[in-house]
Amino acid sequence: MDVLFEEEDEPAGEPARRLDGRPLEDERPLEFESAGLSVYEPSFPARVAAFLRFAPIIETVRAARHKEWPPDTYDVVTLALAVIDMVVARQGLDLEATRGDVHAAVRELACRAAPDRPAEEHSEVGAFVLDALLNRAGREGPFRYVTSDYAAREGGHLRRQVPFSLLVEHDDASRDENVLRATPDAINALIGGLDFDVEDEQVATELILERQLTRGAFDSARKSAERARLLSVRLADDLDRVLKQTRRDLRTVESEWTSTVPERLDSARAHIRERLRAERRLLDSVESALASQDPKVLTAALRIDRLLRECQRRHEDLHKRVIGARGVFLDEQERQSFRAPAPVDRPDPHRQVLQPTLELGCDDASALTRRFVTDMCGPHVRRLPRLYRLINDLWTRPAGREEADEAIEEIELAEAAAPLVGPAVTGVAARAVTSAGLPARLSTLIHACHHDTEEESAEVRRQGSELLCLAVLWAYSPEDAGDDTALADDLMRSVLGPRVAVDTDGTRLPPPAWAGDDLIVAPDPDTLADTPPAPTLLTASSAPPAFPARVTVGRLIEEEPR
Amino acid sequence: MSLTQSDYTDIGTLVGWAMRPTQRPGRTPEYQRVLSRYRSENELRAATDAFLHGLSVHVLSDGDYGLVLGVEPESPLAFRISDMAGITDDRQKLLAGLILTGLAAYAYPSAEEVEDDRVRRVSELDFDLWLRDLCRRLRSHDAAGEPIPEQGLDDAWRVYLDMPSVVQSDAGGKPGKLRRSCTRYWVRNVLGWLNGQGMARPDTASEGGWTLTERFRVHAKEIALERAYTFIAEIQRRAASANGTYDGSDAS
Repeated sequence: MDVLFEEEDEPAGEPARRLDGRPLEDERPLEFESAGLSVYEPSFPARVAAFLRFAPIIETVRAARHKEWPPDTYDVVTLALAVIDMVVARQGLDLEATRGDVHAAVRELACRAAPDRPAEEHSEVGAFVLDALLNRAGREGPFRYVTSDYAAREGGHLRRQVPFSLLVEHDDASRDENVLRATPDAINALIGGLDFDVEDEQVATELILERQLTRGAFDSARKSAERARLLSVRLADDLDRVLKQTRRDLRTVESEWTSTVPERLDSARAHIRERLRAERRLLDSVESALASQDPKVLTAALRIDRLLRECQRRHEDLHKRVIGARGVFLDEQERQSFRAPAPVDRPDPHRQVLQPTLELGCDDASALTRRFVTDMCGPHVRRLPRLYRLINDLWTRPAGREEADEAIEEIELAEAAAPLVGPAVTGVAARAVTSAGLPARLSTLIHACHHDTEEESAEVRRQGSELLCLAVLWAYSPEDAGDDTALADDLMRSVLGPRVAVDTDGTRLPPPAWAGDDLIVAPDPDTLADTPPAPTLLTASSAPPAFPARVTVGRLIEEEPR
Repeated sequence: MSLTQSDYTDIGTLVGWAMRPTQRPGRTPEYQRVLSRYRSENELRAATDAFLHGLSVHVLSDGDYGLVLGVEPESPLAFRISDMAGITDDRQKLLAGLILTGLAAYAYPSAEEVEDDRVRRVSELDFDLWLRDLCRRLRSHDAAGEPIPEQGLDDAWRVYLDMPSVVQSDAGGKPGKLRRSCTRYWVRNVLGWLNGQGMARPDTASEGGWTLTERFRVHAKEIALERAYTFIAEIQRRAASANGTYDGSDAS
């Protein structure tokens, strides 16, 4: 047996001494020396950074205390880690988790934690956890923490920034919706809290998996198989990136090709070969479990079988790409390197323009890019407003947001509101405008409404005439009707036409049934200047049944009891 | 032979067409006629150039794509980045500028590529990932985090990296709608602006795909890249001389 420490007897009578010769009774708390403290070790900042991966989750716990949920009801840490797990479980597959999927799952977990609480609260908890992991408060940017590095400079101090994200949203082109993905930071924090080498981790995972299978621990084996698949995806992504860049511009990855890529390809090939062999071996182990009578074991075994086959497929696919990678390099080298050289004075857009621009400070980069935009654009002719159009435009309430504005900020779309006025009533009003022909006086239009031959119901004809009055008044002097303004504008335009213009010359509607101005309605502002049309004498049948309608300039119809 | 009144009318017509970047001479016989005159008649060409010179504008190309004009920043016809739709603050201006610079480098990765007039396709998604990856590599990042330099964190690439790639609206929102707080929105916005300038076209074959036109290449090649390079060289020269003043070393 090895002796780790050997104790020597102290010589009798000699006071105990330290190694440096000072007697022990002189022992005072020594000042901590640089060499003795781990905070001065180069690996310390990395430990701090690894620890910080959990900080957002801890902060979420603190933020949750400010919510109006009952204390100690929802375990935010568990929910947060469950979210990351859910996302990871489907990452890289055809149906990656969407925000809606994960939200529903967390809502369910919250419901199980507090079944007595309202469903809205469960939903709120789900959204809260998801938003915290996405860093919605930071506009979905990375979390940032500033740390102190005492190891970088002798006797000094260096500040470091640790930026990372946990969950990010990606646009899934094939599904036309956003999916969630866990970042390597989240995966590593979840798996072990430390950064790791993909391949070593995979070896470890498969060893664990094999051991679990032999032990019959199928549930854990399933989890390990899922993890193995995720690691394979990461390996594939890494190789894909290099190949894509090689096709676009070999030079940007040239240094990687001369240094690390051949080695990575070789080891990837060996790795894939090893994984395929291991997966075949594991499949053999699972096959025996497939004969099990225990439904639980059988279900787990089936799932592992499916997972392993998928891993196998992924590896086979990756293998093809790895084998073809060198060919891609040679082809691209031939295509990109052996072409006619550019004139010597032409700058390289990537290395001599974009790269240094990105490295400039914000002020210099802003000045440069401002100039770049001007140079990239031809002459820009600013549109000048025509005076007569300008005045009309200023008078007219904007009909709605222009298409360009719509593109800038998305508008939450609700279901279209049910029309307030029935099509029959609108039809009466619109037909009156057509049959009377604009320009016309309001009295003529009211008369046309009441003598509409297509509408049988006198009540609908009367409603049509009221609608027309309202539309004409709205066109004359629209008011701010809050959310209904756009609706009123649309209705007015659908009845009277898009460029309708309304004015008054002081002529009154015939009393006693009517009160107010007999307004002139013209199809456009230019026609309004023509000779005013003649008024129409309104008969008793055209009057409202219960009380007189007052058509007042600048006001909607005011109704008063008779 | 001196120019007649009708020659000057043709010059005006030609410049008028050149001011509309989405128009092509192949589609309009009148444009074709005045452009042919510009190409073949020296006197008319000289008068047109002189007129444009007065506006601080010059001809970059007179090929089949029409008369492509470059503008000096002091010209009353110069486009300012604040004229771009949807831009409200300095950060957005810088972001849009970086994206445009990035598009030129993405489409033409080398000086030789700028000479090659084959069609360049850009996918919004691929471009965003590419530029993001480029910015990420600029971050001297290891397991311990990133050292904060003396001058603070002021690099332009951080502006891009600080913004997430995709942000969707609350409560799911409508798929495909992007918020202005994500880089994909700005990539689409800049490409949409280029479309209005006759420099890009939506690629109907692919979702989020665009084709950059010859006009884009002409502007990048003839004016924009060269000036950007000169600007950067000047900044680097200034930095080098400033370093020389203080510590006697040259900037690398």
